[in-house]
Amino acid sequence: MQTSFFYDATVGTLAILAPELVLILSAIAMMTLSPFVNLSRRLWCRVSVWSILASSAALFWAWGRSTDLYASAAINDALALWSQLLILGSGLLVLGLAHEEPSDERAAEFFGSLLLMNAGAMLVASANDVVFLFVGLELVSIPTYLVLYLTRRTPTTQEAATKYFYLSILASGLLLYGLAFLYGSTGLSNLKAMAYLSSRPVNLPNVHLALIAIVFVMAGLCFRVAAVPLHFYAPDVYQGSPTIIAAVLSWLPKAVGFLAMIRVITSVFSQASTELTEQATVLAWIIAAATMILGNFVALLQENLKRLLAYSSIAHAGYLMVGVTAALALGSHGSALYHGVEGIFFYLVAYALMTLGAFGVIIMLRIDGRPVETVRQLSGLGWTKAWPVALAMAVCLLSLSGIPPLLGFWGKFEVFASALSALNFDDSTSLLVLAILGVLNSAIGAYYYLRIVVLMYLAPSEGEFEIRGGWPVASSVGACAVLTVLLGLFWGVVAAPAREAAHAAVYLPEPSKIAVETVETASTMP
Amino acid sequence: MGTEYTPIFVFLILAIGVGSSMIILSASWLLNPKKTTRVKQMPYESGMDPIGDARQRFDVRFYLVAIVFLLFDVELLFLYPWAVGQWSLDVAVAPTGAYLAGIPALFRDLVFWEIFVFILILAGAFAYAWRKGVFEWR
Repeated sequence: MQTSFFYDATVGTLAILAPELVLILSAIAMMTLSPFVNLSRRLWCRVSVWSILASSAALFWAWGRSTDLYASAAINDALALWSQLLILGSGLLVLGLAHEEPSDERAAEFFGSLLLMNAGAMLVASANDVVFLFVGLELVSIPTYLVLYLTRRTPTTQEAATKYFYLSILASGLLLYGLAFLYGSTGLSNLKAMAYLSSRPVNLPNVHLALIAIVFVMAGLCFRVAAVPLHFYAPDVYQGSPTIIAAVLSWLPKAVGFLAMIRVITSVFSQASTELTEQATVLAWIIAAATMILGNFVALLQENLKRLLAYSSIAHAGYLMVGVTAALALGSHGSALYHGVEGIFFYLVAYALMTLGAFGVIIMLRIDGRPVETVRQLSGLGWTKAWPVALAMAVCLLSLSGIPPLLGFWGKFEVFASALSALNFDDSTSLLVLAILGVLNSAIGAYYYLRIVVLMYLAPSEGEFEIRGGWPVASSVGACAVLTVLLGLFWGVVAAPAREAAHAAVYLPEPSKIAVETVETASTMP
Repeated sequence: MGTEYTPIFVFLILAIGVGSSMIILSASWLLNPKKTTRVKQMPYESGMDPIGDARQRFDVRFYLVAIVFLLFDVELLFLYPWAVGQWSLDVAVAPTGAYLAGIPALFRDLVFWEIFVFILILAGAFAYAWRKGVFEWR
């Protein structure tokens, strides 16, 4: 009886994982075939695009198949579906931006690594088991070490790769340690079952262990998203690595880190005993406030474009942490007007478009035949023949700073609104303070974004601009800018999936009888 | 008093041993006459004279071979428990109840083909390494 229950759950999990399997198998096939056949990078890029499209088809094929939430290692709820679609879409944008980066003989490994990173991110989005979640996170970080050093072998990329490698391993260790405590506190590895157990305080055996677990998991994920105690690597690594890799690093690990935070921390512990939830909320509060303030203030001083975008990505990790704080604070008080997870998801959509667009512009532009490096080199771009690029950059920067009709504004709106919604049900005013801090910080952040826009349109140009990359890069950047505007005007298109994702993240159905038996046997094991 | 307090005594002996040896070592370091000569600075004062730096560079091919070794090492690490567990619950292999752990009959086909895919992927990695010239020892 129990065996057939687990068999159904396992087969169901495999069916749900079809999109990830398609990506992983095509990446393996590409990498294995590359030394045997001699193809151009254009063709490898085309193969990657097709495998992403096949993966999307598999995603729709797997949609609607359901397994028992409390037994399967992966689930396909609304949060997983919309996040996977977002990751696949951004994967197409990244392929467009990256198509000129590798040489012909390294192209298969490079694009294969990008596909593996996307697959890892999708695994994290659908993970329902801590072991599985860790595998997904590693599937994102291990190909990252590879692509950091694959295409350009210079001392600067070497420095970036080494720094990222050692710190990332340390962060993985912290995360794994935390996950071990999580297992120790519940006796389970299934995340939905953990959430179900912790929503009934009598059944969570070791609450004090759960707090250690939260601290360590948060530390490990803070590295991935570049939030404050572990943010320091970001500027050096971004500056040292090729621009396209900096773009991927500023987007994919951040999305993965916040999806993991939703799955492991907010969904599991937001409905736990009030004391534990309060302590976790305080932790998230401190990280959010420190990250926003540090990111924005240090970004004010930056002259190098990639360093500036690195600090801006740290600041955005801070805004997203506000959403995590809200999701944690809200949990036990029932549903609210705006949920933290909703804010996080909406912000991730906005962040993907605007940050990939801004990095894409840096990839496209050459000044006097050399890549653009400093903020000042962008002067006067708006009135040269490269004016469409300047327009795209301006749209992305205005969206990053949160100017109203654009998507970035609605992202900030949803995140801060979720903090205020959680406040209505909470007797403390700390979330109000956090929301005010966030708004003040976006005002500070507007300075360094608008400075670039002002330089582009009001200062004389310092050299001859030239556009590189052909139509794939141009269409990626164009798609980012156009979608930032269009989705900003029709923001309900993103808000509805975000709402569904938030509902799915905290959805805990009444478990079936056999699932209860299994969970109770597991959690009372000596 | 039963044997349940035995670990405490073991730890006590360990603690005393480690502590006293640390005290002796640090005392000898604090109290010794500090006269350094070139001979005393050598790694082995009364052994053979060193013929080069200990931080020698190794050929990168050693590392490549080590990585390919890891490939098979990990393969074995996964295959061995699987090979033991795959049929151990089978009545034909062992009398009923002889083994408690093993793969249930329902899962057998699934696990078998998963192991097959695993070996195929490793074979792909091996073919990649071979084609990239890892085994050509020039």
